[in-house]
Amino acid sequence: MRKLSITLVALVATGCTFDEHLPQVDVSGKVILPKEAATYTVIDPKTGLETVVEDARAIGPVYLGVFPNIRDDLYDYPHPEMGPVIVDGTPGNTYPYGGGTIGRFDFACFSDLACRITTGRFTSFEDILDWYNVVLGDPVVDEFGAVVDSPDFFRSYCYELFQYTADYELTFLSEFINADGIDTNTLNFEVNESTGDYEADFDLWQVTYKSDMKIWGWMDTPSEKFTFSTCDPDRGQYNSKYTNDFYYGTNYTDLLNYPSKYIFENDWVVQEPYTFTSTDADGFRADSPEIEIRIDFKNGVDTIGGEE
Amino acid sequence: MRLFPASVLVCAALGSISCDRIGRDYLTPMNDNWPGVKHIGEIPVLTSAEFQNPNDRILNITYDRLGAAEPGKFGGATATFTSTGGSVCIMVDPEAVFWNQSVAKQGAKEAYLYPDNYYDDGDIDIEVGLTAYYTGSPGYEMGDFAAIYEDSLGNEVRLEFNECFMPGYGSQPDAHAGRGALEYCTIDTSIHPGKSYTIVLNAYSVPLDDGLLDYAVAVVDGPCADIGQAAGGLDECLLPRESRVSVEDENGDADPLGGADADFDLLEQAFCNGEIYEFCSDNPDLCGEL
Repeated sequence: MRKLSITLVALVATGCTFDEHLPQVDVSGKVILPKEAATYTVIDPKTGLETVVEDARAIGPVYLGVFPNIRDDLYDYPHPEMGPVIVDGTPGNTYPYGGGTIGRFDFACFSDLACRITTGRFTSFEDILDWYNVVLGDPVVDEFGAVVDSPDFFRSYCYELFQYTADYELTFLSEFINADGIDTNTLNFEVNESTGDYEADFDLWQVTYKSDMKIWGWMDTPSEKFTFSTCDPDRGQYNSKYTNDFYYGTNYTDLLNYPSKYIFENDWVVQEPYTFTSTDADGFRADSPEIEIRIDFKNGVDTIGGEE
Repeated sequence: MRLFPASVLVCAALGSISCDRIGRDYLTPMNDNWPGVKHIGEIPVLTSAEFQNPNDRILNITYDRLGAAEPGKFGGATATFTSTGGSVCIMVDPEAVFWNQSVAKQGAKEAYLYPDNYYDDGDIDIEVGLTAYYTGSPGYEMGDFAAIYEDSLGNEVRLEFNECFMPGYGSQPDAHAGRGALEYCTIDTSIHPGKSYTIVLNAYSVPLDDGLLDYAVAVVDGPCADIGQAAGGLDECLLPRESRVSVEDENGDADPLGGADADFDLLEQAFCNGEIYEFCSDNPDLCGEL
């Protein structure tokens, strides 16, 4: 009996440490955005007066991919290498090895907010209403065109729409009490007090490992109407309740395959990609390098290899 | 020690059972007269006028036959056509007729109470692409429209240039209609007008009864949806009489695919007229065993 117990314990212990030597790796690291990337110019529609605000809520979704190489000679900004052009008018596919995002589009209950809310940017209903109604001066409206100025109405509308009963079920809110009763904060970006830059952690799951592959990506800067070029308003869940007739909006599905279709002026792009130096996936897991990426090239303003 | 004789007995029993299940009955033998890989050659793109009338259709569509391929090799046929610069519909109908037997205890569909003859059905799937992209050797070895792109780190990516996405039996996109059923797809040739396209007819299964797979294939100008609407449906009845028999031509020479198999013709007509139950009642040898 004793021998059996020892054998079982040994087997269990072996199982816990079994290494499958998978060719895919999970990559974690930190992204740094210059504080200018968190600035947004608000234009008063009546006076035309421009006001520049710096706020983490102005940071758009960040897309990160892992690619075989990044080239400076394809576009006016660094861009992953591409495969052959197969369809006229469509660039070559970048064939990424993996990727992920920091923040994603989420539907915040009103069609007026479709494609305008990124997860990890807003703490609460009050925070959303403050951003649109007060800071931007572009109030949130319901399906009848009435201004939404009550956080409680916002909450009740969301609970009714999604049949939810708690804030933690709404993933566009980043400060909530979770199911275990613990105060939780899922905001993505924090200000580095010494530099003023904005920093966020990222995870890229199950990336197929190749030595010398590179992490590259960009931040989708919001437009003047605070919409995003990477969001497709005609995709996502369709709402036809009563007189409703709209989609919730979600990201395009080929952002990492054809980034040049979605990167426009003022978007922030990685200029110095991170290069994986470990020989293989096992080596990468053993090395466990600290990865830090700066997204500091402003498309349309900066020039490759040059000064602003 | 007692375990040893027991394990020997078990192994012997298992071995004797496995010897009884070779499964060769489910493999079609090769036929010296009909190769498993064949190139039909260039076939015409039919106009709607040439295709619309069923009598004209029978005269204008292409009938052919395949044998079983060498074991371990893909079998099938290839054909080429010259693109029109617009949408064209490629369709193939392998023999014979297939239906699901109605087995419900209550509310069974009387038309399908008889089972289908499982042994007379073949299955063909279509791929279509520019001939320049075809990787096979027509008549010798089947291929596809895939190319390999190697990125700067030596990682290989398969690029697919097949342009044919068949709907399934229930019209679901990019699927397979299955045994005996019409397979079809629309391709847009507007980017490459006047260029040679290759149709790859992959023989997914060859009938078990005779080891020969008869089929009808056609290329028609226009999208399949329009052609099907005008002809009454994209189904088994669109390309009729695909099971063929040998007849003598006007010179007295044997034309191995010259005529329609009379029995199959009646079966197909009965199926298309919704009279399969009556037909099977009168001709049980042409349907499955009840």
